[in-house]
Amino acid sequence: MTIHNKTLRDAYPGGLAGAGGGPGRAAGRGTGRGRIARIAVRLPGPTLRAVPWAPILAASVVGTGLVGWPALSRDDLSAALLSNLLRLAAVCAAVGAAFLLDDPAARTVQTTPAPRLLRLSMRVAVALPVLAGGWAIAVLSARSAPNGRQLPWVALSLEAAALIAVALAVAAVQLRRDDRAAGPLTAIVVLTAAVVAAVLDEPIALFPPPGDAHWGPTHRWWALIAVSALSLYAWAAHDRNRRRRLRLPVRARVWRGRAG
Amino acid sequence: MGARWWQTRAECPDWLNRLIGRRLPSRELDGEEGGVTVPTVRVEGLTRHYPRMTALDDVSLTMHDGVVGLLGPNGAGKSTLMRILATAMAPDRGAVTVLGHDPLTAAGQLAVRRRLGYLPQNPGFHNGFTAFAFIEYVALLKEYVGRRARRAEVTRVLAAVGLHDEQHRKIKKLSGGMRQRVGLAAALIGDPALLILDEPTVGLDPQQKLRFRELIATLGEGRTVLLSTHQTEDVMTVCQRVIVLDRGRVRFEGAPAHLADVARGRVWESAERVPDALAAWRTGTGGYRNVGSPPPGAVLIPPTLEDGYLLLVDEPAGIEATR
Amino acid sequence: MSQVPQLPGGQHLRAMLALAWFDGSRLARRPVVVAALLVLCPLAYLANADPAWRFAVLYEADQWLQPLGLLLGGVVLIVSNLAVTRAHRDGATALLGVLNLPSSWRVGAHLVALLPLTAVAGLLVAGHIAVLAALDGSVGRPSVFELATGPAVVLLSGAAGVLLGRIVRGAFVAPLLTVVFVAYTIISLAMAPTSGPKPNWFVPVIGRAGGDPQFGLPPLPSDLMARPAGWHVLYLLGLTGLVATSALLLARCRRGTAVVAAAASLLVIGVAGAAQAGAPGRSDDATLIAVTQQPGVHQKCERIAPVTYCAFAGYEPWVKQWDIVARAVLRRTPAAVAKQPLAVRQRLDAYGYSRPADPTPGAVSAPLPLERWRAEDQAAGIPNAITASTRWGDGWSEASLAGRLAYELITRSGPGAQADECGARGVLVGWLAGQATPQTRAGLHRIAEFSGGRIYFAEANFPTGIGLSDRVTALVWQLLDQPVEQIAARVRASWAELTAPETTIERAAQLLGVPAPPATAPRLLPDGTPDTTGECA
Repeated sequence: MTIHNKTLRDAYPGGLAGAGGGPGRAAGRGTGRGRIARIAVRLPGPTLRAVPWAPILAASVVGTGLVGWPALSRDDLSAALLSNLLRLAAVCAAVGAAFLLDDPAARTVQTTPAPRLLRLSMRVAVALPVLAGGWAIAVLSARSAPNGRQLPWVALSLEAAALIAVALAVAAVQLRRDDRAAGPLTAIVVLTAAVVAAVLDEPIALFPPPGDAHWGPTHRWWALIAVSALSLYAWAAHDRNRRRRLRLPVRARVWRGRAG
Repeated sequence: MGARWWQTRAECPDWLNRLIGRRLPSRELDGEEGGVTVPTVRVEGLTRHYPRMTALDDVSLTMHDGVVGLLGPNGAGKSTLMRILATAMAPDRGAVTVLGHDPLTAAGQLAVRRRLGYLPQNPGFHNGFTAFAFIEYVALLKEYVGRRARRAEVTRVLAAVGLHDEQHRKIKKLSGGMRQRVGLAAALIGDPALLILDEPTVGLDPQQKLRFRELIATLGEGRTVLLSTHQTEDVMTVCQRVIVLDRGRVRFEGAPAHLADVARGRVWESAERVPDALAAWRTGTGGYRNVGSPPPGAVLIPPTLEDGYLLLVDEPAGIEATR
Repeated sequence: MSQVPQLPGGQHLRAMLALAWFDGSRLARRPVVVAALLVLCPLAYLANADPAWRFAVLYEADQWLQPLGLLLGGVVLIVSNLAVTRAHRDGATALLGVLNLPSSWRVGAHLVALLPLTAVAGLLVAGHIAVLAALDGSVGRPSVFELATGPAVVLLSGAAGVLLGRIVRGAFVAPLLTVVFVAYTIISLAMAPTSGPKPNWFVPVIGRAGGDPQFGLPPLPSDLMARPAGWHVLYLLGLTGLVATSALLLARCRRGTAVVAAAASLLVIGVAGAAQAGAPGRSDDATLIAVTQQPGVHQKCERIAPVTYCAFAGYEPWVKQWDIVARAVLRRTPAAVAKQPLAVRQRLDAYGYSRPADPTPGAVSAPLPLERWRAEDQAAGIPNAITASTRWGDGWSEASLAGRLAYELITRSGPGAQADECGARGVLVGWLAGQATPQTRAGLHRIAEFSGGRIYFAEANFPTGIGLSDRVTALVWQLLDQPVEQIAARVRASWAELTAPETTIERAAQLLGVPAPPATAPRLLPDGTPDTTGECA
């Protein structure tokens, strides 16, 4: 291979052949056990720069403001209203999370050995602290309101986590079908689901006011929703394109010449 | 001969080997086993449907070392075939073997991806990254966990595509041709044994195209490079083999020279436009070049690769040339 | 951007309309819009469906679909924003930028494409109110401006989506903005005092002026409603104009016309906003108090022997319904009793409009203006007119009217009766009310369900009422299960004894031939003390 740059020619006197020499050799590559861990440890850096921060930050700020401004500027918000505002902040966080898995470089990195689940989950892991921070501030503002001292913030946080998990699951499923941006469609689905959940009435109400008789059973349902959404996400975020239709595997050795 | 299938390491399935504790047989690429060369890619009966069309219809081919060109009109299935070989898509039916592995199993997919470089059509990047940072990211995803090795590899591939001086510019500030080269550099990481390049010369100026052809030709030694293109010059200058795809079927598989031979005796010149030629166009010298069934008494001229291609993609039945 | 050749205006217009048609049909075909129109809206509508809608008060009913206008508006905001940012997201901006139709005309096409959806929303609203008005129990006339508010909100939301798409390229802004609007709306609705001088008109949609049918304020007579709905619609249209011209200006349209349009919109917003903020949300306090104390001024009376009915203007269709209930009650009384003159007058407590909602329990409410009512009734020649409310069809109103009629027949005590009945009188009142019509019977069940098992006959929305004790209620249910004619015969036979104040419940049970309900232990309040409400001496 001709090296056009004189400097490089001097730097690589032996030519720009593969560092390991010969095709397909993998020197300096971690391919043994624990390769996933070793990649995962080094991945947060580039992922931090690759994540689309605009939707995440906007969602956190808007959600926090939605709760914080009314809660801190007025004294007369009831506990039910405060918990509904917190739920709206959770919906904001879910809308932000809907755009989290959009990756313009998806097609370029799709065929790398690193697992797709690792790549996508690293994005989630990197953005989650921001969303969680915004949520914490919102909860603190709500609890500082006069009627909010007794707000059941653990249950509301479970609802928020479930909503975010649902957004991620829907985005992952959509990406499986069409690997361009899944954000807008996922945001619409999340909002629609939130509206449907909000208009549900007893006994299947998903957003009961605090102190309601159905509070406990409803939050068991929320836990189930969260777990199901996470499982769906884990399934949808895996590398695809294996075994599209059920076929018996054709053994590779058929194509090899017989040994001996 | 005489040994049972479970007694021979190569014949025994992997899971049984592992169970017994045997060392798994190494899957050497293109090695000589019993004097038979093993193809890099082998495809048999590949079929893939989209909701309203069939992209690949019972495609069977093999590829060995060297540069293979994939020619075909739009919608012929070139990209689909490349994506299937690059483990980016699964077929509906058919058997695929890439580098000795079945890319439709998890282990096979991983093994293929370790020795694969793929440049998709319209590659996307993280535009806020510098070229170096993006290639380093891809290198990390290609399992270059050691920092020094990774950076060395990044420098190597960027120099190979000629982006050494621009490596610290943000991708959004690079021109289209430079971005294409960034994509190519990403494909070159890890010195892959199989390079799949989908329309790689889009957006390159003639000088860059020249350099690119040089690079590909060098890479073709000892590796398999599959590139799809519309430009017959790429095929003529660089490819050792050509595959012509049209509407999901293989129309031709062989050397470029033989593709031109397909049109031998079916290209002629005339002073005016002839109505029953398959394709006719006005040449720079004022006459008309016609491809098709020549009328008696026509002046035949030597065919080019393009003529052969035109004939193949317009005729309903393909013409198979021998290798 | 290079100079795009200016085609004659007509060709731009035709191209814009063609593009608008294309965009509009894409907008209407989006799954979320279809789902909202065909699934969400009907679901939300049915979830709030009420049998009382057969007797809709149309100048209240015209507001019912406004919250659905908000829902559709949210959807339209997001999809119109997606349509405008589509070009950027798909990387086609540079390609579209050099086409012959300038970007300002393209934005205009996006705006015009909203009109079909607005028209669909308008059709839905019009159809709904037409159906309600066609029912023969409907009262009053709807206000066109109230009906137009829903579609105006849809148009405004769509225009806002287009403007947002020109300002910010990200697709995440529109959903977040929708959530912000929802939050603003629920805070405004929650914080809006149900009484109080002026509701927050700047919220695009007003919460029900009548409040909850069961516990809230019934509708005011139509000539007392002073809602600036017309100004409100104008305000919304002005906002839409401002938003649309801003979007066009951002797309570099011709300055002159657009700036004039924007200025005009600002003017409209200012004028309409001031007008609706300054207009009284409801009539002033003096009028409301006058209506409460002397409702006859606004009413016309109709006599269907032996009962006289006085209803507010527009409520005449309900007189027939009241008469059905009255006849059914009178049918079971002895002839002599049934022939005595009775009167029913529509009244409502408009004090609730001007008095702030009372948060502390046990607060003493203002006394009823009984003297004034009696004076008014005397003047009209119909002494002791009992109260009917401005609601009908929800079960409560029918049962309350029947119960109060029965009580009047028995005790001749007039309006404002407040009593706890534990004896035979209570049994009689309960049975007469329950056997009248199937609706009164269903209404009794609803009342009992709500008030924890006891029957209670309210008086419109005044705090007075006639309550029946637990044992009386139990006996009433028993009696209602018996064949009606049998009990009716026994009632007529022992009318005098049953209506005497000192007759006990056991004696009543004996007279009517059913076993007396057992004496029950007094109920306990949550803190353990016995609940003495409703227990008489």
